[in-house]
Amino acid sequence: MLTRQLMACLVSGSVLLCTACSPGEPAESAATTQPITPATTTSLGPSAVAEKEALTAYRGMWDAFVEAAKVSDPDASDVRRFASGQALRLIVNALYTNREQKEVILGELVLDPKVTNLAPAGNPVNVTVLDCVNDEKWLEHKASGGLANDEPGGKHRTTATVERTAEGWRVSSFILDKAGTC
Amino acid sequence: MLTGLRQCVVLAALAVAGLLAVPATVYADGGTGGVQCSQDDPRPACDVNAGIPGQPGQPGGGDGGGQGGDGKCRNPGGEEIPCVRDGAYAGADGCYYTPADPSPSTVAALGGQPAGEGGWYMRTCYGPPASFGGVVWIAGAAPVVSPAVLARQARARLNLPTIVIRMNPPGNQLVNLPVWLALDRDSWRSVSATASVPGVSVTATARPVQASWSMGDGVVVACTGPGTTWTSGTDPAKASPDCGHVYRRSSAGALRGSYEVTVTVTWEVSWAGAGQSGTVPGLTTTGQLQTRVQESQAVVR
Repeated sequence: MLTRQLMACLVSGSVLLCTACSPGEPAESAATTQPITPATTTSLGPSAVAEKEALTAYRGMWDAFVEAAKVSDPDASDVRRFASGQALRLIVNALYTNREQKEVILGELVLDPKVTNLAPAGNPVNVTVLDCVNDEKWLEHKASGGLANDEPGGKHRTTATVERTAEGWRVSSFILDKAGTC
Repeated sequence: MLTGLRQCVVLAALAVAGLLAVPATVYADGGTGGVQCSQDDPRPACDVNAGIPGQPGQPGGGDGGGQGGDGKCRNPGGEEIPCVRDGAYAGADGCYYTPADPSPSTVAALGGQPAGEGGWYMRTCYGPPASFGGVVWIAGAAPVVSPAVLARQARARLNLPTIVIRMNPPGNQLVNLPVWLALDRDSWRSVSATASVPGVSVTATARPVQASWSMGDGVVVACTGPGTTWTSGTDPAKASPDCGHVYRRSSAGALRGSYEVTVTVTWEVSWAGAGQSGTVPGLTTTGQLQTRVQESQAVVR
């Protein structure tokens, strides 16, 4: 459902037009809901604030992952500051596995996240982020030095859900697809 | 429980452990390989709705893994696969397992410690289509029988001695008078336990390596031995040669007017069997007593 909507957004050529879609709504009603517009006044509206904070959490999660992955630390506290639920499970599992395999991830990860949905429109607590995560220069290395293998990285279509919790915004889940999907 | 055939299979698996050279790399490509999930990925970690990690034990779990009647290991598709890969053993699902020790913080992030019998395992599944690995909780019996799994079972059977404290002076203490800290001889000795399946036996041995004495006055004394028991005839004003403490404050102001002395003994656990050896997570035991520490005019130092 969500995926189809995202696809519809992409096909329509404008992600912005669909930013106010909620997952349960048919795409046709998008035009009747409030689109996200850049703030024209100095004070940001609830949607603009949510968008900004959700993207901060999303980037924070990847920054924390990148940092923890340098030493394969599954107990890194920053990862827990920005990720919860399935997102946290995936990352902690990956870090733990890397530690067991005596591997680390080094290099630079390139993100390009965009908010595609905020729900509910008036006071968003659930934000959908679409990204094209590029790990062409963020590669698995042996902990002892050198690349783990000669496979290249790639660009991964990623959809994430960022939720407002009592402790702040957290990425609660994400699906990162295989290389070459964006 | 185990048939003779399975016993042979386990032995065969052990025999080929060192012979099969398989590329060690699980993750190809970029750093996101470990968090990659395709749409409708069946793995639990990719289920955005699941809250509980892991899965029930494999059908026939604990029977030695993915070996068939011909003694060969096969994946669910029927293809022959090595019984051991990178030190991990093939399970009935064609993936490879070794016991894992996630920290409490890691366990919490993975969704919490499931109730009931089971264990954490590193599971590695090799492609095609894709190779992936992860730490999973397997409920019930172990998905494979391997020396490392038997070592866990042996560790669980270790019956460590109760800690008996031999403090001198016994009972109440005096400020500025050296206290000799010691453990009963029986509290400080190596302990072994064995777990086996027909043909394979693994023995785990726990060895005490440190006694950490929390004296109740805020001081922690770390000793690498059981300490020396004070014997009559020794000058009471003399300090213990290897493990002692001197109280500088009376316990009058402490809770209930006494100090709680807690000694924690750390045990290193190693295992050996089936031509292999290694270590498993250590263990601790504790002992406690209350002691009053009084000012004394009689001891002037």
